[in-house]
Amino acid sequence: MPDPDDERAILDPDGSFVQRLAEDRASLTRLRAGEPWDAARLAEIETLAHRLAGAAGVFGYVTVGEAAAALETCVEERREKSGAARPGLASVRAAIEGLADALDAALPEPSKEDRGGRRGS
Amino acid sequence: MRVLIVEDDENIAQLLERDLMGLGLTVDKVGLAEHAFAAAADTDYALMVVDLGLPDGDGLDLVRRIRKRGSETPILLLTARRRVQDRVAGLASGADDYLVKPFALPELRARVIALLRRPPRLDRSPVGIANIVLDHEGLEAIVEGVGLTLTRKQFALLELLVRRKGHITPKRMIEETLYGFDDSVSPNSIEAHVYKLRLALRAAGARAVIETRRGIGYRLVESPAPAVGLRPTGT
Repeated sequence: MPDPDDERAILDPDGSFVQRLAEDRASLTRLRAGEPWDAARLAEIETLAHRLAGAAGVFGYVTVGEAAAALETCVEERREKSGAARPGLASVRAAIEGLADALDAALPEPSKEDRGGRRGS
Repeated sequence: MRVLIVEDDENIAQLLERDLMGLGLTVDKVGLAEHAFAAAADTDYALMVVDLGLPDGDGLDLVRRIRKRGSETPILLLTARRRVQDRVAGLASGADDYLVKPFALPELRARVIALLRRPPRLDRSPVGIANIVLDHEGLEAIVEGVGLTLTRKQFALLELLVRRKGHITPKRMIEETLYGFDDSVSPNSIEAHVYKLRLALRAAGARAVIETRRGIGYRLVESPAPAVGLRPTGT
């Protein structure tokens, strides 16, 4: 099995994808803060998750891609389904946390320090 | 061969560009459907790689418009849409293949090579160089009007070199054209195929030679003067 770090370095030699992950992580922090949880905010979350679900796995960040796909599915089902099948906001928040955790685990330490902490922000 | 990448995700587009250039392909990339439509009208691409989710429209509409215009360029769709109905819609739009993100680069590469290997569906104009014309039906090269029977691999090699005439064809691209994943490739097999093809072309009086670029690949060019063949050429 190839070392995932080696694979990522080959796929992202200039680090631009890592930079994007850090930017997406910052966007998640903004998107999960405050009110209201309206359609515009959910659409922005779905777009971010959709793009990350497609790209992260290509660059070797499998866990991030899976967490992004889970968040995308959750928001999509909240938009499309009704009644008991419709995920609540708590589910959306939990999926956001899952993606945030996956991003934190994937990002190098300086990126985490730059954000000045995640929980409760 | 020239390839168009239609992808608005700059990270993915750059990765694809690097990878396909490594196959010896010339790569153009655009991020908008309208730019892709215009580029496809101006350039005869060997292949288009199209992402479905574009900022100014759906990739499916782009494919339909390109097909409606009569283009037969092979199209590989890329998408993060995972549902079966999405894949079916993609192929029904006129695309030739469909790859779901996230994908592994070796799989993308294999699909690109497979699509490039397909003979054009409508364009039956002869492919050739100098006094060589390829006969796809008979799997032979016609040199100065005389059939030159080749092995399947020799024909595939010659076809690849003819289609890329004047350009260096990387050894890796030749390997991926001639061999499948499960084939065992001996270290000097490409050199051996090139050597035998050179002999065959020379013996037939072909006015084209295969140049070697050591460590890079091969290039088929017209001979500056008729090659001295083993076959008498009217003298």
